[in-house]
Amino acid sequence: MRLLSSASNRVVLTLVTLAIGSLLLGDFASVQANRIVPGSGFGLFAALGSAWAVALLAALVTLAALALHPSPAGYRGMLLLISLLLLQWPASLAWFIHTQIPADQAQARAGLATGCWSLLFFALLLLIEVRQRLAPAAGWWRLGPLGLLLVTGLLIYSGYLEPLALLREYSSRSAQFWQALRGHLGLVGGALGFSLLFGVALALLIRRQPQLQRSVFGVLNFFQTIPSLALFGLLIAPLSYLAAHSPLLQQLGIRGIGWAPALLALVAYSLLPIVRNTSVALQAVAAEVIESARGMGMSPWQVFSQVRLPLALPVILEGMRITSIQAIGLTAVAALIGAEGFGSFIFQGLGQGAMDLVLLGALPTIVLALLADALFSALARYFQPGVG
Amino acid sequence: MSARPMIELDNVSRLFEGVAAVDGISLRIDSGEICVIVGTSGCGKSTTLRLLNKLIDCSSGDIRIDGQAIAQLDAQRLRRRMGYAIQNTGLFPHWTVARNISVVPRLLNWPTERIEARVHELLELLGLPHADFAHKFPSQLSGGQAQRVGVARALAGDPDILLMDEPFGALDPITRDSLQNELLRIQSRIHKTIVFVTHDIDEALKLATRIVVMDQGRIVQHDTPVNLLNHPANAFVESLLGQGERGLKRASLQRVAERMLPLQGTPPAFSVAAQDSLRQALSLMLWHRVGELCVRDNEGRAVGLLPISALLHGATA
Ligand SMILES: Nc1ncnc2c1ncn2[C@@H]1O[C@H](COP(=O)(O)OP(=O)(O)O)[C@@H](O)[C@H]1O
Ligand SMILES: [Mg+2]
Repeated sequence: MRLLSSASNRVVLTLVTLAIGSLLLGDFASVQANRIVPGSGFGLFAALGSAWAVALLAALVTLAALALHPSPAGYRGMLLLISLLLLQWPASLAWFIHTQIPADQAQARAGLATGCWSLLFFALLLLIEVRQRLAPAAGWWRLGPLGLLLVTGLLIYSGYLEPLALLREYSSRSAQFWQALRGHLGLVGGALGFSLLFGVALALLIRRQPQLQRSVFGVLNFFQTIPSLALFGLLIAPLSYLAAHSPLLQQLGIRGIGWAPALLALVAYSLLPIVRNTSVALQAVAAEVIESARGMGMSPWQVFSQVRLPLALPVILEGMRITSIQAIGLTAVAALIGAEGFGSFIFQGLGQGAMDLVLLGALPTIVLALLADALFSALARYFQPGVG
Repeated sequence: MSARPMIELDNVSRLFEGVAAVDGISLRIDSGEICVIVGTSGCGKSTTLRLLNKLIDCSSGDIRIDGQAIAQLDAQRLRRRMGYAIQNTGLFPHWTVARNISVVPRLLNWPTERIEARVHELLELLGLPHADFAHKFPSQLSGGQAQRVGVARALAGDPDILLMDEPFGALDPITRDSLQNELLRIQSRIHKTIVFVTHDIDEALKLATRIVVMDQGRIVQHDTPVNLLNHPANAFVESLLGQGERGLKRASLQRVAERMLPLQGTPPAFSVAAQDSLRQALSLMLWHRVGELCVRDNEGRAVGLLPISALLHGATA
């Protein structure tokens, strides 16, 4: 502890330097008169006024000063400052909009520039670093990010952030946005469900018939090597053909483009992590545990359902975590073959050169991936054997 | 000891890929015995044990448990009637100690209250206070504690027969010694028929009522520990017993009380307990450089005299 605290914290110093650098050197935010014209950038002082800008820089400098000779109290001070940085972040945007965009200009929009993004990014990294140093001092590091979400939510709700380009894009397509969310979740959930069903079945089959292992993994590995766009494209022709010749498939809404080829491709990609993790996990259960389960008089089904499966579950869930994150990303790409999801915003935005529309698709995709990661990690921890 | 045979093996063999791991063995184990199977690694001890609860089937020969041929019995029902404890415990890592112990009672569909009472009783029997241990997970136990839970789990369904495959093999010598004493103490209360596999001849001599020495799938000798020491059947048994140590091994099987003489005159300065082994008495004599010891009972009263000559004479069997 002494050794740790006597040396200066270089990570904090570096992050603070980078944050100050990007605030001073890059634009903080920008204003566009409407969606089409190029925007004009505002530096930190121009965007927020000198009082706010100086306070912001002072907070960062204080953070650096505390990091020179960090102590437990110093780290608590740093955590406080970082939380304040996070809390003021949405407020600074609202202040920028309030001072720079007249209320009567319904087309004018504010964009975030490097300074603003980097401040958020570096503040979050600082939070991660400082939180580690305060290891046992539980929960209140969460106040900063939670406050950030809360303040952002309140400012959006009350309309102060309305002119933000991202929100302007959202409000002109809010119905499509929720439709995209449903479509995205539907595809990912469907892919996860089907690949879990088939994946576990395949893993069990491999256990029964070990000679199949090579060919099964050969095929699944082959799928992974096909680039996603190519696989989506390859599925269009056969599905169109099948749909054209089968009224049943037509009734089910299966066509060469849309959700059907997307789902097939997603399942093909998802099978490998699930089959691999499931079969490895089932195999890895200690031989003496299985021996004693049988020796106690458990039936084969009881050995499987009460011992082998629960012990394998954390690793299987890890497979589902990988699969779901992969599927969330691939579903965005699947927009190219007409599948619903946030990908449609990304590709429309790219086509129109509207970066804010790209963000409207990309941000929720990232958030979904992070949520899936957190959910499955938590489940795996919960089912970890022998932790009360 | 009752003479009712609990386990009978009749010319039993088991082949793996044409090679006999167990080769035509016949054996009779009476009710209430601790039969210890001992031999070098790979000689077929575990295979013999696993034939008894049908974890593997005989290639030829018959096994009868309590008079019934096990070939006719349902394997799962048979196993629930036999406790099974193995090296490294095989405890279920995702279940608490209490849940681990209750496995067989649950399989036997005991009512909940009876299961709870049984778990309580067994934890106390093995010196693991229920309040401290019932809700721990196996990863939170020391090696000795985990093995105690393993023994408790094997006893849970109140089986007549206990099969133990090198249960203390992975423990340090001190923990192993205390668990061996524990097993003898418990056995004196519950009188199960125990088949115990070990490669450690000292463990066999200490625990067994009778020892089965195996070599290359065959039974070389089946006798009491004292007879084994006095009349080893062949050179293999002799080498297993350890040539230079045989005298000490035999001395450790005999109690001071069996050899002490009546006390005359002033008792010697150094004492030994009446229930200690002759080996311990000899060690004390060597240590203190004396030729005789005062024998004291549990209350510390001087009850006899043990001169070194008493170790040399007297009954040998
Ligand atoms: N399931 C099995 N398959 C093939 N060979 C086996 C199997 N189990 C035991 N054996 C062989 O049988 C012999 C006796 O094994 P075992 O009974 O485990 O010996 P130990 O006396 O060390 O317990 C060994 O040669 C072992 O390799
Ligand atoms: Mg063995």
